[in-house]
Amino acid sequence: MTGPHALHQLVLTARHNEVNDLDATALASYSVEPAGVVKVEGDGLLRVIADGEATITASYEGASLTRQVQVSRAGEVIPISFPNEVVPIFTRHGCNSGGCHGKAEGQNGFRLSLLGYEPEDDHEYLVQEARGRRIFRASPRHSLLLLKGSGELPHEGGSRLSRDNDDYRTVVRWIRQGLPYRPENDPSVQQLVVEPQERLTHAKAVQQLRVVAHFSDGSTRDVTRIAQYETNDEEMATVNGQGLVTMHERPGSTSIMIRFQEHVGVFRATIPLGAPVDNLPTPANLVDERIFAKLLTLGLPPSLLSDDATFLRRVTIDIAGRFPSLEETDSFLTEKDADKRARKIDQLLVGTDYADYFAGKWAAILRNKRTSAHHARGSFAFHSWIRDALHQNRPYHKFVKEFVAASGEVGENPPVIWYRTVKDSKEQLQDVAQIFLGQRLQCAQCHHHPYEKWSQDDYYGFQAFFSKVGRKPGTQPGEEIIFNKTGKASAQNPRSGRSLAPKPLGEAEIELTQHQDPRDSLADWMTNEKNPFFARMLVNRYWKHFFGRGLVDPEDDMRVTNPPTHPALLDDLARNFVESGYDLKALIRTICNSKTYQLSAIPNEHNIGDRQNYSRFYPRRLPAEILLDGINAVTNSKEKFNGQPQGVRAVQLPDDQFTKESYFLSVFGRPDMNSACECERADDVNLAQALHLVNSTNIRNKLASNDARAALLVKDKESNDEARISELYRRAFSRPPGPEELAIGLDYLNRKRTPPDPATLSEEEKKKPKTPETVEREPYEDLIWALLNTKEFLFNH
Amino acid sequence: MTCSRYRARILLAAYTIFGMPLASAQLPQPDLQTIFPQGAQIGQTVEVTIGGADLGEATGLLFSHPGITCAQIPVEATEFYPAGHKPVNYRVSVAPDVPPGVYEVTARTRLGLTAPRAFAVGTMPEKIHQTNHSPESAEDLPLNTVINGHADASAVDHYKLDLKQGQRVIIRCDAEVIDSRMDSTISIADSSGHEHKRNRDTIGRDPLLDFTAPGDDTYLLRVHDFTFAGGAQYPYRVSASDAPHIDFIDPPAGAPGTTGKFKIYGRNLPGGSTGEGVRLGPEELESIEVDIPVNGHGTPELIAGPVHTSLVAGMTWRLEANGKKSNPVRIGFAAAPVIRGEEGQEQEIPVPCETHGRFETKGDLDHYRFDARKDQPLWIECLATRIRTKSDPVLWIDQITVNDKGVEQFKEIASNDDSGGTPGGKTFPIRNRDCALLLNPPADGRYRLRLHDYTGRGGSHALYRLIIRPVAPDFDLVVTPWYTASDKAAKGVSRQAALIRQGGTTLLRVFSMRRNGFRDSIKLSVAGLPPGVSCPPVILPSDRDTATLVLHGSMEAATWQGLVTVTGRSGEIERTARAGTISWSIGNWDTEFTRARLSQQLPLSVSAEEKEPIIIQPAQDRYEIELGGKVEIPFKLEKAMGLKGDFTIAVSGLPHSKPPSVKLKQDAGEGKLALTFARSNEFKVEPGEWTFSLRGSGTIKYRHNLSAIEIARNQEARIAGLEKTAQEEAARAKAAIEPVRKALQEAEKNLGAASDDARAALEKAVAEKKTQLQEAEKMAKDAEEKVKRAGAAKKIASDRLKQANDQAKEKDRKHATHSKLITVVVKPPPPKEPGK
Repeated sequence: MTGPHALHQLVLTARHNEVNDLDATALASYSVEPAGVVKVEGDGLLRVIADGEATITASYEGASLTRQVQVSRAGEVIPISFPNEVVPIFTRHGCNSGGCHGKAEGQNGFRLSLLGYEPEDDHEYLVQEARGRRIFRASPRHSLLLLKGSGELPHEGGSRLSRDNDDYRTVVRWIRQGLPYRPENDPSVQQLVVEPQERLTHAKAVQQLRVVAHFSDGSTRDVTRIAQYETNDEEMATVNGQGLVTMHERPGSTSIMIRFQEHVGVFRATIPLGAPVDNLPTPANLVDERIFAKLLTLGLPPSLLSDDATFLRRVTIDIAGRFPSLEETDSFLTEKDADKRARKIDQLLVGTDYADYFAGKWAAILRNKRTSAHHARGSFAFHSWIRDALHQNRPYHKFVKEFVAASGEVGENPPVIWYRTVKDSKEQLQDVAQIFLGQRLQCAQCHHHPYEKWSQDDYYGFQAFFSKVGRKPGTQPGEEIIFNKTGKASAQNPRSGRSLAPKPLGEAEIELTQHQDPRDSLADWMTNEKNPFFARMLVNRYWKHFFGRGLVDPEDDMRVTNPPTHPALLDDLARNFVESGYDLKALIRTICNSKTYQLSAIPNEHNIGDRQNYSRFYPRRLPAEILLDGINAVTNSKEKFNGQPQGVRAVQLPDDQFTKESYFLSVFGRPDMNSACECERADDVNLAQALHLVNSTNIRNKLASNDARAALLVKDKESNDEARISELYRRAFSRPPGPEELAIGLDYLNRKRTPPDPATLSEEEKKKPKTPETVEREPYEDLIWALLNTKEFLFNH
Repeated sequence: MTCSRYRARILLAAYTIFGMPLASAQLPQPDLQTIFPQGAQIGQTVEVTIGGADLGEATGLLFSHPGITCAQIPVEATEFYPAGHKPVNYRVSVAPDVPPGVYEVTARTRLGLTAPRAFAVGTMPEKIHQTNHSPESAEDLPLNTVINGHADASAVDHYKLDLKQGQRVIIRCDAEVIDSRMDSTISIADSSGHEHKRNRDTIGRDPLLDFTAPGDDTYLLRVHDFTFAGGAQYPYRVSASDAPHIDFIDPPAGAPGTTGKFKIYGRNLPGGSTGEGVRLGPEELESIEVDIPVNGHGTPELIAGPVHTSLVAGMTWRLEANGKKSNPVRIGFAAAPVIRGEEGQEQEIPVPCETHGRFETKGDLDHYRFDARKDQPLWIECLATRIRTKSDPVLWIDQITVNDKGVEQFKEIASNDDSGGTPGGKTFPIRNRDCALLLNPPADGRYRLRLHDYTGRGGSHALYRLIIRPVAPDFDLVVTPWYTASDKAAKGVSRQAALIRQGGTTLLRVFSMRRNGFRDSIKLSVAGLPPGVSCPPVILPSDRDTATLVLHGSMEAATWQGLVTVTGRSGEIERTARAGTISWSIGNWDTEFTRARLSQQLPLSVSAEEKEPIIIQPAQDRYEIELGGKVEIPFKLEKAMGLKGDFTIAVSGLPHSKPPSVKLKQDAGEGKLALTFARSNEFKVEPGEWTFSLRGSGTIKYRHNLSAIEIARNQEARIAGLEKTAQEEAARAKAAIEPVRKALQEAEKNLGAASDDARAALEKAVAEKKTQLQEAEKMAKDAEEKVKRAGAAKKIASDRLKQANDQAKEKDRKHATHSKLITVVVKPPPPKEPGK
């Protein structure tokens, strides 16, 4: 430890057995020999007393451990570094956050660079701006900076630094030393190391972290007390400013993000439930192996496997974007083959419904918009191109290569239409990074990414890939020819003024000839099997599609500080995907054939709170299109979308236009395709939706028309009520009704058919008595309506 | 047939309401928008129905090939109408010697010939589609049969194909080549509904499916417009065939007068084999080598595609196998000795030469070296989009020098992308995405040519023709009927036919595409004009690529319909302009696709049926002045129809950005316009001949088809006459009954009083009288019925008269009209006298 103000955090781990480590930092007792060199505080923090060497002994439950410590220059005044010591204080206390002085216009006239990424600017703001009024050199404690920061003068942000705080004292020392920027040869931080990085712990446990900065001169420094901590999930764990993490009761994995300057680190904690796990099915593939291993670790017993009906409905919705037909349901439920589930998955993947459904998914994030009527050719063509690629199972890397480096005219090469919606090269780079690499680079446009390693150079180097996209008028109005302009690809970092050549993320700039299309190089880099982002992003996106939650979630925010719940599984799936030749259907096969995917959504006594360990299937509301198509299928209605032939299903619609035109689709959250994020699709449940289902003419017309299901059922005189009710259940839920459900249905039909007491009839009803057909039909309309409003219908479960 | 006729009637009715030109700037003119079916089999006769605007009095169809003829379908005389013909139905016969291909047809109408419409002639039997909007109503598509259909809006047409396992069919759905607005899209599914293939935009905007049946099944073919638009202007011709299909040919050109070895890439090729890995879609293409004589004469059929593509000199060629002909492939006529391009290295080429290379990969960059001399400029040109590839070539020329260390230095001295500009603007879109430049070598020495593809993805089919040759004057001309919108903000484009109303004018717009480094002016003239129609030659200056010819018909010009030609001459070079047309009218070029194409003929019509509503009559059509002088042009306005508001007369055809103009009051009958021939920033006038017209624009009180009123009135009067005669006959017949009845009563009376002897004779007399009475009553009844029929016929005639009157009601209509051309000869000023 160097200098009088050096701090050092001890972390003490007690190991009881192979797997269970316990943080004993605050539980142990410490002694120092000889005394007078350092002192150990109760939370394991070492403070300097004087130069010398000492031995520290930690004792806990009869075990003890010793470590040596050396202190030098304890009596000297060590020159302070504004960037390395003062700025982190502003970050740690939130002064330079985006909501406070860190926003572009500052707060109440005082501005700091966001999260301290521009320390030179901060130094100028503090020392020179406003004629230096923020600092009082003669009496540092009376500096406006400290009076406001400590709340001694009115401060909107309240009291952030108390007088007895180390950080307060550091600022005072900096002022006393004459407001230096940094001493000569002041090193810069190269790396941040968090200890421990990962821990299997238990509910309500605590864990002290230690954060060490590695500097450019090879030195290291404990920055535990000046780093900033944030939890990813407050319900699982919280963290205080000293780096002490407190676990809560929900089992699973969570992480704590640690930031120091532009560097970030992560601590991952896994909190087991500890229940006996003795009902694991035999793993079907690598998915189950990884998922079940973690369930064992967590002591989280999974739900039972789903029954055939549930599986059929779930997998048909997830792969083909529709309900199983009556025929499919009946045949699947009666089949006895052991491999019928796998065969069903294969069948669904061969059909065009799969391509239709996934084309809609991709069209949304690739922003297939029709802003004018004459844009239809382009948006239809782009959708059709995506659909064909999926139908033919074009390898994903080829699909992306063709997309990213598309040139030509829409008639010849439809993906160029993406450049019509996404015009600006910044938007282009951001969308490509987010969609295909899971990297949200937007922040790095103006400053270093706050939760990632990406700098502005990374951002603008990536923008350079799109710097040569040229446009010429196309043959038809509203269309353009996209081409690669001749010349050097570059983009300028506006802060540094530096012109950057194309630069893959995390790599050096690349030199290209003036004729080369940098987008080809980008596509090559992205689709290289060693690319750390590409395959992982896709498998994570598809995982989320089938499970409702990404292994990394949000699925397209795969930053270091948002680690996966199952890192090894993500790696395995990605490796498998690459080895399969980027075979999307194979990936879906792997996921859907897993027992994990086929688990029931009905929780057991242990896993009801599970949100991330896949111990059960997480039910989710049906997407707008599938719900509408499903209602139409059950009620035997056909939707007529503007300009589309009768019978085109909602899931087949090519662009955003239909969201605007259909109240149903918009109220149930079909996206407007304004964003590269799948989160634009609303999956919430709200009152407007409920009212629409219960109380709208739209639904009423579907139920009551003359060729609707109810009318058809009663027209079929061969059939009886039991058979009709059974058909309805099989259409809506892909299962026959249970005895009780059947009884309720029959009872309702009979009650409704009983002629009402004439005394209760209104005058109008007396004048116009119901026809026998209406008397037969109306109870069925009611019954179907009721089924449509059940959770079982509205959810994929 | 009943179904299709019914549909045709509906369509015709729709056109009369909606088929008026969308841009109302010019006067109504007949337009042949549809002809259905839009094709026929060679050697067969087919009944067609035409649709469009103002076709109700059509009398015939005129085809661009003399072997295609048309006959009227007679309508027999009826009680009140003489024999006639159906104006919208014709029998079209295709002679056995007409080569397969696409030709053109125009309709003869009251006012004249319409703009042309494509008409296909093929070798396969033809059928007409039925209503088939659902899989259940799918219609059989027999192998090697063409079904003529049209896409309906928001609908899909369905066809069934019975195929055996392994059976291969080439399915086409031609639309663009027959002027259809349809962006044709097809897909094929098996009987379980599983879609196997889908296609569009493979042959231009038209699709091609190469399908091999995976099993014995009835397959379902779905046909629709890509964005589900539809209507009568969306016709298609769909077929499933086992005939050979050619995708492309290598090399793309041959020297005229030679027989060359060509490699055909395609499907179902006789003796063809795969193995080269060449693909244009999912399937690998077969190839065969054939010897083809390159005749250098071209072919009679219409060359589909954008204007520049169709202008490339060449011929069409078809492969024949098992008695079936393939689709046509174009073989260009090489412009210089042919060299084969080599891949992967910089290639030395002689000058002049035509090099056949290819863009092997996406963004390929090919290098060539050649020698050039300072005093010998070269024309360097690449044909890629014009030979129907998906490449967008761009070229650079580098001068090569060697520095004192013996190292080569390259200096870029010229480059080009997208030569040719857009002379037709948005009204007649012509665009050339190929590149060309005139190289003036700065020194004798070595030069490098870099040729790059901006947009294609490369491959064996990404062929190009690179031509380097000495500068030699040459040019192409394209001429199309034209109008100038009265409203500057108008963005509509109407299909035009050249039509002169008596005393009026019609415009022809000429676009020049100068080649081989040619830069001079071109003198344009029209040949084949009938008596009473004139157009003085017009000079297309060296710095412009468009000029307007104004054809003027005198007040005495007689009705005439025929074909004319426009020629351009520059020095010794004379070229006939190729006719051009647009495929359909549009309302707004910012949102609708306008398609311009070449046409096989340029029809001109003169109509004595109607007079030009407003005629601008300049006092003289030739003036002579000195440079710097001022011309005052007096003119008269002759008005066959009234004006509403002011009428503006402006100079048209001179390069002013704000042409000199004068505004006349509504009732003015004459005016004058002064024009200065002095040099200014916008009119860099030089001594010589300047030709222009006076353009008048304003609102006229237009009355449409007045002769229809006359015809209808005469018809009504004639039928009224017939009705009157019938009434008179009925009265006479009625009157004739009473005497007979009385005679009968008398006879019966006589019979009652008669003796037995006389009884027999009297009984006979009574019977006779009874018969006479019955006959008289019948005659009266028949006559009465005829009166009723005449009444009904008269009502129809009266309705028609009312309709004609309604249509001819005075309506305000924006209108622009041109005077005949005026020539001003500008003489150089006399040399200044010394001392003054």
